[in-house]
Amino acid sequence: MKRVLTFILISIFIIIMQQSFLAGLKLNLLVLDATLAFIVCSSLLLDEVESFIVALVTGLIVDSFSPYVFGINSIIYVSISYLFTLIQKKLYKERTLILILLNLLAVILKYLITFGSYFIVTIKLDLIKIIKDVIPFEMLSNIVFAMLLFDFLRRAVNSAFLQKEWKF
Amino acid sequence: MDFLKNKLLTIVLVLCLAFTIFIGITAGNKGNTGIIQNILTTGVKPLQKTFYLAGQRISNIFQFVSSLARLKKENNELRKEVEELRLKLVDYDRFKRENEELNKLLNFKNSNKNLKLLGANVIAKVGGEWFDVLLIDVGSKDGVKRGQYVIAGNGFVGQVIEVNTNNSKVITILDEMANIPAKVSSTEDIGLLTGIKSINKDKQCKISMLPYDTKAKEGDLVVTTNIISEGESIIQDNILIGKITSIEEEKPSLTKVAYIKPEVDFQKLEKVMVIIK
Repeated sequence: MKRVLTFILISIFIIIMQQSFLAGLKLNLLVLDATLAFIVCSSLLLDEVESFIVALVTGLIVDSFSPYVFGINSIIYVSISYLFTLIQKKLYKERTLILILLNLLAVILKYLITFGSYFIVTIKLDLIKIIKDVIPFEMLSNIVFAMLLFDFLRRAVNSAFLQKEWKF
Repeated sequence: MDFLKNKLLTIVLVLCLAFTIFIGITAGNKGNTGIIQNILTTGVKPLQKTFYLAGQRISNIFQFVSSLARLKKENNELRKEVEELRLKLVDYDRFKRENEELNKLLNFKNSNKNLKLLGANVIAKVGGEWFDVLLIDVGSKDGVKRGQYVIAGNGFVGQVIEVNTNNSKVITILDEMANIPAKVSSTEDIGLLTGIKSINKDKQCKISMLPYDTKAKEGDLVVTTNIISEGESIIQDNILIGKITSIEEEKPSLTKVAYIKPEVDFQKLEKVMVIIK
């Protein structure tokens, strides 16, 4: 439970970072969904339930800030978290390539769910422009960020695990 | 936890369904507002504000650093432009001066229609530091003769002393050897105009041999006089030479000498006119 709380706090910090700090930076070509990258990393490091709780809470928080509709991000994070926790046991997650592929997959899933949801509620988006101008940069940014974050989170998880097991 | 683990797929599916309904409801309400949203957004507002400001400040630093290269390039371009404009300004000054000189010459010509004037360019200053002699680009081929007067604008420059086929030498009123007859316009006192050797830029000339009881005073104008003739040349009178700046006694000859500030600026002299008829 401690790990879940830690991860939830980290997620809140990442959400604030993304919505405030990165938005304030006004950097061109930086289309980063840091929260999504975080969810991918947490799915690889936590077990199913922990990952699910973190994804759900993170999704609810992000949805609270989202305009127009409530729930899309929760669906995205929960489903990605569930899927990735299922497959993570069958993968050698230490490999960078796995992290890269999972992040690519996460971005694709995110946009599929988003477009689907917006289509249902008849919110019109310029699909072609988003595919062309946003998705490639977001994939790239997310991969770079996830590689950094995964390393940091793994150390935190391992440290907590060692503390618990070896009682130091 | 175990319960959650066993029923996780069901829970995920139920939640997805619930969230889909939420999406529908919020989209129908045309707004994502509510108690949860309100609490969350209000709770993290101070943090968000701080982080946003921090982000903006860091962004400003990045922008400042990235703009340095651009500023340097811009600075170089502007320097180049300033240099070009400076060169243009030099040209402009030259054209302006030439224009002023030509206007003055034209005015003189218009007010002395009976005179035949020959325009010339000053092409050199000869005689080194010893003489104030100008070389002009007209000579005997153009009708220039020894002794003719040379003017610039409304002022007197000097007298032709040597004539070649294509150029002539003009002794200016600043030369000690000038010895040109002149008179004080107000008193009609006649004297001899010569230059004063000086290393100053503001060179002066003087009219000597003025009568001791002359009424000439500071500020009076000095003009040429045709009291004597120079062979076949016509000596034009009443050409302005300059203005008296001071008068002194001339010892031991019991005459007076008046110092004159020439009308012509010899430092910038480029165009002159020779009075040929």
